[in-house]
Amino acid sequence: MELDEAVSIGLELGADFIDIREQEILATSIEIVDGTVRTLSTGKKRGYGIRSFCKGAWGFSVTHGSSKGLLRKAIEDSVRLAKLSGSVKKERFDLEGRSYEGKAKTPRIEVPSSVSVEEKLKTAIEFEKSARIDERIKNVTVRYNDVVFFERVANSFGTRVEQEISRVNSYVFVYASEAGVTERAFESIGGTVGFEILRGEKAATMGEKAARRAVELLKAKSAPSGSYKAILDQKLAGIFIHEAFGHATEADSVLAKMSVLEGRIGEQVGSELVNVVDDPTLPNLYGSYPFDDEGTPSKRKYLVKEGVLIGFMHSLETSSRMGQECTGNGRAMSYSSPPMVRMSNTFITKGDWKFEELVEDIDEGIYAKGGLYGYTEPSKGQFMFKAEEGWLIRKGELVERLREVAIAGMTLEVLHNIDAVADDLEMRIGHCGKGGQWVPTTAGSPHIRVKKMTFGGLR
Amino acid sequence: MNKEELLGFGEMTVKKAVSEGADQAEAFLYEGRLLSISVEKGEIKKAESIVEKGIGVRIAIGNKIGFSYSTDFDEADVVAKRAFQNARASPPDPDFRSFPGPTEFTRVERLFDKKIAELEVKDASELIKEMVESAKVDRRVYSIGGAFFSTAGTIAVLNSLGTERADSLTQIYIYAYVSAKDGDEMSSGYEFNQGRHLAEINPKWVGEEAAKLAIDSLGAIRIETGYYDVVIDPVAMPSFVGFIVSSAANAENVQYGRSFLAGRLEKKIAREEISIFDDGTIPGAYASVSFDGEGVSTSRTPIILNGVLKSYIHNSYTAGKAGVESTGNASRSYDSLPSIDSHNVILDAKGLETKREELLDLRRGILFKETGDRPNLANGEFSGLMSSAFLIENGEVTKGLKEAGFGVNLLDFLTKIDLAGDDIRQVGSTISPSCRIRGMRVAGK
Repeated sequence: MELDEAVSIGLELGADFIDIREQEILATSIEIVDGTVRTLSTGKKRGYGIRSFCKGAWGFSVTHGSSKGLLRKAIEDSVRLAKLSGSVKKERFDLEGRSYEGKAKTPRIEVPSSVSVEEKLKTAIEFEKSARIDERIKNVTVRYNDVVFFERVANSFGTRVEQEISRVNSYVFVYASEAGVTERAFESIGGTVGFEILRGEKAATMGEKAARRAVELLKAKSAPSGSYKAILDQKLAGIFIHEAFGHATEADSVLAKMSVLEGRIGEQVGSELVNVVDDPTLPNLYGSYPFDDEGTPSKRKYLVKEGVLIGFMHSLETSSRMGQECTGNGRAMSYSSPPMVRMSNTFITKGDWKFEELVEDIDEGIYAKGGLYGYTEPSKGQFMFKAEEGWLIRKGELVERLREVAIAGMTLEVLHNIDAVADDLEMRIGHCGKGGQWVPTTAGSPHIRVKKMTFGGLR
Repeated sequence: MNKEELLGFGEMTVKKAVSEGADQAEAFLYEGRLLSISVEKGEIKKAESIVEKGIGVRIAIGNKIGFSYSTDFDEADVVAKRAFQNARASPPDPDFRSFPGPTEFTRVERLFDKKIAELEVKDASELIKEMVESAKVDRRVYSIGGAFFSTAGTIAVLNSLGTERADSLTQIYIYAYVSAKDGDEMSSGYEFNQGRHLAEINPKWVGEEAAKLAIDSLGAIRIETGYYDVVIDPVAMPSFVGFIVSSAANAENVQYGRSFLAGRLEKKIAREEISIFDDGTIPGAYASVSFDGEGVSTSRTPIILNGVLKSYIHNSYTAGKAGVESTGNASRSYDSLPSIDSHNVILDAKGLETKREELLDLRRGILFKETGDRPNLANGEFSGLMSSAFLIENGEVTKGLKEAGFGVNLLDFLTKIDLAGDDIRQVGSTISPSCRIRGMRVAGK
């Protein structure tokens, strides 16, 4: 069945709106642990995600069969679910949107599917070896993943979009131990690119970099707790801006009254030094895409300019409900999940301070680096992040290495307390989870300095 | 598709792989349906019916392993071939022994509820409406969100050594996330029910409790940094007890030296009154299954017995490497190789049990309800933020706490439990009472 026909069937069955996504996903994953290949997997998934809309509510169904009968049944299911939800809905709205047509392919030199598994294995094994810097390195895990998505999106506005997206990532995790103390560190690389990304210098030195850090952390002290002046490195500030702030600018959380930013457009939400951008159009970055999974072309937008909240990120639904332009942030993990408002490449833009200048002015403080994971409470605007490591700062000098630093606070308080932004923007790959769906993103920032930050440690 | 049909596809695939030249072959198949309904601002927002299915094939040529998967059962022979090619390309794994042969057949009852498998979206929407209505307890309730999920699916695992298992399972989960607002101040509350049977769900209770928690959290204060007696609620226990079994006692983490429990077998690591079990055999329980992701029958495994670390949890690979029997903890989906995960994790602290009120009988302490945080696997240090916590004053739960950080080592946790409550609850996989810890570091203002 052609997608045009599927869309017509949905409308005939009574949907106010319908979209259908056809995807084929080819993936390879490799895991190497301590020199042994533990996973060498290749696979294929293929299916349809069908979404219908009736009077303010959605129905969604998934099928794997491409036979006419199975597809028709899935369309019927989808419309039936939408009608059922719509029938009890008091708050109704109409979907509005433009139609787009286009074909795109993300730039890549070596399509992952054209590289042999032997070659991929060889590369991953090299990464593993590069982390073996001395006998204190006890455990090294290397992960390699590539995926090629073929996607067609059609909807009842008339959108007909086709795209092919190729992504590659690799991680090196290192555990070092000495005298009963074990520490960990990791490095990652990835992009919306081809296999070529793993042939550069950055990839080749990833293992050694993680290993050196894990070894250095063996001598680190536990972090103090309490309130300190703080510097966050690019990785941690990136996680902060993605998790604590970015999610609050997703319009679905605003509409669900789960965002501390509701009703604050035009308000000063941070210090004048702060600019925040979400940009899926940047070439090669891991969170980039030509069209979102609703078929809307991607675009760059400011979320915060000079500390003022400029706008939210939107899907077709949220832009319709809030009467704002759709920003092309409707993303789905695969055909088996419906699109939601999601970030792409989200970052604090660079300022004009040098890192040394940030440190110089601090009498007593903490320099927190890297990120293991984080947690936020979006309606309260509260967050907690676990940084990989840190340094104690005294009289403008980094004096003592710290392990596992936890930072916590209120997001907007922290944004207001940023008193310096450095000029050294860096982006890191990530996999952002929301509503059970994981999508590739990058988060970034320069070094930032915060006047006051709560640290939770063991001493 | 029923069990027999899945087994039929599996058998064909295993045969095909062996005829290609595989020394051992294994097929894992799944087909199931997920039904979900989500609520936003007190109204049904979307309903989903998702079919998930696929086949994964694992091949061994000597001790070279390869894997492949597809969502298309009709491509089973192509998948077998790709897995075979991957095995050929792979270097040998010196620690691989064998896929597991057939184990003694045991069957855990009451893991499937026909009522869930046949549930119509209309019935589910009635449940969720009831939950929403019961959350409207107070004018300060500002927004009600939540969701309903049910799954019904069939799993089949077969291998060329004669393992052949199939079973159908259901699960159901419902939650409410309520925010409350008073003036400029906002707070939230979360509550849920889970089970393998429709009857285990009480939407009214879920709605009321989430709303109550949100309201009670209004007027939250910051607490002074210091050492406090802390009562850890069962809802926070997956991060403590659950983590100890699923991650720290996970044999893969132990063998690779990633876990602080490595090298501690037969050592005393907890109070004598404390035992922790991994148990996949409890009839009707949320995390029970008859067999694991490799077709090995599940069991009740003592992890900590009377304070002494007795066992790790294994799949066939880690068991082979350690020279022990698999504990039946292979965790699996069709598109991945077996990893290791816990079944039901049970904290048994009967020797310390008392009424919940007695646990709370503190002059000044903290009730720790929830954290989004997890411990450091390498050293057992656990520090982070309590996402939901309350102050206890003179035996009464009084005010909500905000921005309360905490720090404790899991080994200290196991030795510092001084009392356990009579309020045993299953949260995810973890079945535990509340536990009181004397002197936990809490960071505030």
